[in-house]
Amino acid sequence: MKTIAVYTLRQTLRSKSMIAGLGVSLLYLAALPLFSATGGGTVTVGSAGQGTTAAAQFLGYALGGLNLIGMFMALFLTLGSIHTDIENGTMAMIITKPLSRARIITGRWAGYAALMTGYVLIIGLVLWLAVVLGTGEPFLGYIPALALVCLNVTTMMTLTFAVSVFLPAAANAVLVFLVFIATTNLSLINVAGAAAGETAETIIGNLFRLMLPVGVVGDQLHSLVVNSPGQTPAFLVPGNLFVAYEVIYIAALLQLGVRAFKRKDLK
Amino acid sequence: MEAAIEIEGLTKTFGHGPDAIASVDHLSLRVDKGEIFGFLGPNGAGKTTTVKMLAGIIFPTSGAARLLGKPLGDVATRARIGFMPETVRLSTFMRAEDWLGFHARLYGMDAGRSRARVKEVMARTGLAGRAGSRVRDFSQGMMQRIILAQAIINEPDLLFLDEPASALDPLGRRDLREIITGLRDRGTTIFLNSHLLSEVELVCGRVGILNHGKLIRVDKLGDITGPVQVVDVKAEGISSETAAAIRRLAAKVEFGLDGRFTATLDSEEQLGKLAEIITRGGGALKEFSPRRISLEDAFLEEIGEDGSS
Ligand SMILES: Nc1ncnc2c1ncn2[C@@H]1O[C@H](COP(=O)(O)OP(=O)(O)OP(=O)(O)O)[C@@H](O)[C@H]1O
Ligand SMILES: [Mg+2]
Repeated sequence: MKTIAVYTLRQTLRSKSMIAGLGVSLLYLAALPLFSATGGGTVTVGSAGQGTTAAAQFLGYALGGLNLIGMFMALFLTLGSIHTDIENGTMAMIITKPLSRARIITGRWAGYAALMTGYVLIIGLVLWLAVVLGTGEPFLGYIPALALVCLNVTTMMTLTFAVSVFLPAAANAVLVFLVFIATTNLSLINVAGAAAGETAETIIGNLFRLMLPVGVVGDQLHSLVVNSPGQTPAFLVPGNLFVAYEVIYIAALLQLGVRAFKRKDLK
Repeated sequence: MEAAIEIEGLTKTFGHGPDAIASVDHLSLRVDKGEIFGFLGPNGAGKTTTVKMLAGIIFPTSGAARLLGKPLGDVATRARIGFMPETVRLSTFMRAEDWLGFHARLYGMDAGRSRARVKEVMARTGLAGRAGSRVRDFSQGMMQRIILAQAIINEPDLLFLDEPASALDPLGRRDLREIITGLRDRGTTIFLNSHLLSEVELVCGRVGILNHGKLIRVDKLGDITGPVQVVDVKAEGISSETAAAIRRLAAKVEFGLDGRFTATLDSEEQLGKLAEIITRGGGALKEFSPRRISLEDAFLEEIGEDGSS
């Protein structure tokens, strides 16, 4: 299983999508300081109050961007994984080795998970270190927020990865992208619901979030970093329950992929 | 003799309802340990489908099979099996030795053993100088060599080869034959899918012919190609009496130029008699070449020349 995971890491690291994704990420990192320069906030060393708030807002904003870029990178890196391996005959040679089908899929998933988590952690920690060193403030709320971004990116990766057992790359991209858009938009029903004091609408909106539970964490990042949960409207708070749901969502998708793969005729 | 492969009513149907076709239709077959078995059949006969079921790549619709005494799907047994699929174009960025090392590790070898085996199989398959080349840049024949290399890297007890020679040059075919006979000498059972009949003739002990998913004949190669019946002869000084005696002996004789003729006999024993008639009559034998019915002829006869038996 480790062999498969390492193989996945190495193959993905050399793929053109990975190189493109890293390029965009670096551009993003390079352009971020423009915000702190123009956003009215002064990230000054050792200053409290205004400067600290601005730095926290900057971190929250930057992390939101990393969340989105990471999710789309996860989508593009994994959208062809299993299906392509089956089509080009690589899987036939792997499957005939003394390794169960479940382990092959889990190993491959673990490789992608390690890669995406590593990517988010490295960029996220670089951001954090830059701000912490600049302000002298620890911004401890950022750490759980970064962990949530890792979770989000893994969720997106697992969805695309599991679908790649069934669908070719292009169909996978269409499906996951549309689910993402639909979920994000439909879940806004709860904003309207809360504004109108309609419990039913709030609940329906939140139910839509369950289809692809990445939006809630996204909403939550900012308040976690600024460390003032009170600023976030109550209906947006994910809470531990929602995080637990996201973890179960990942496990269930992976299980689905494994089960489908176990019964699948390959090429 | 212990069986390496036992197949019982193996069937694979693709499609559903009225469109369903059985690509492999109630196949039953037994291959003993240490045998080299040639699996022949025209395009679309179901050879690849059969091997894919045995290798665990696709699942049978019905029927069962045992490999090395264990039912299909037994993961541990796969450590003793090698599988070379029909040649594909590999698109991996990996270098040849890393790619083979990956397959060695999948077989559970440790780093040291894997390195040693990679070196060995690269030499065996004629890729020794290409360890550092990227697999994706390989030529078709080199692709086929490296796919063969991953199948023998574990020194398998049972080896499946699906059209292993289709892209190989003459040197590659010789290497392949040497690999096959080398493995047989250490007791490996080999199941060889091929329509390159001359390849099969050179190495296989027993042959099965598949057509439209059904096994239509299984026999020793010698029994399929039959006994020697035709002989090409060149002799000097054949008198008209001798020629008449030859005509009486053979079922059919065709005389050519320079004392050449081809005789068709009823049995192998008549070969000696024919030579005797010529020398007794004062003729001098210059050439005497008995001919077997080629596997190709036998094959075409079995499947019907139009492939529609
Ligand atoms: N995945 C599939 N879906 C539908 N039909 C299939 C599939 N795989 C194989 N077949 C059909 O099964 C039949 C047997 O195919 P198979 O590849 O086993 O033939 P083969 O004997 O290996 O032929 P060749 O000598 O050309 O390699 C063919 O008619 C083929 O079209
Ligand atoms: Mg075939």
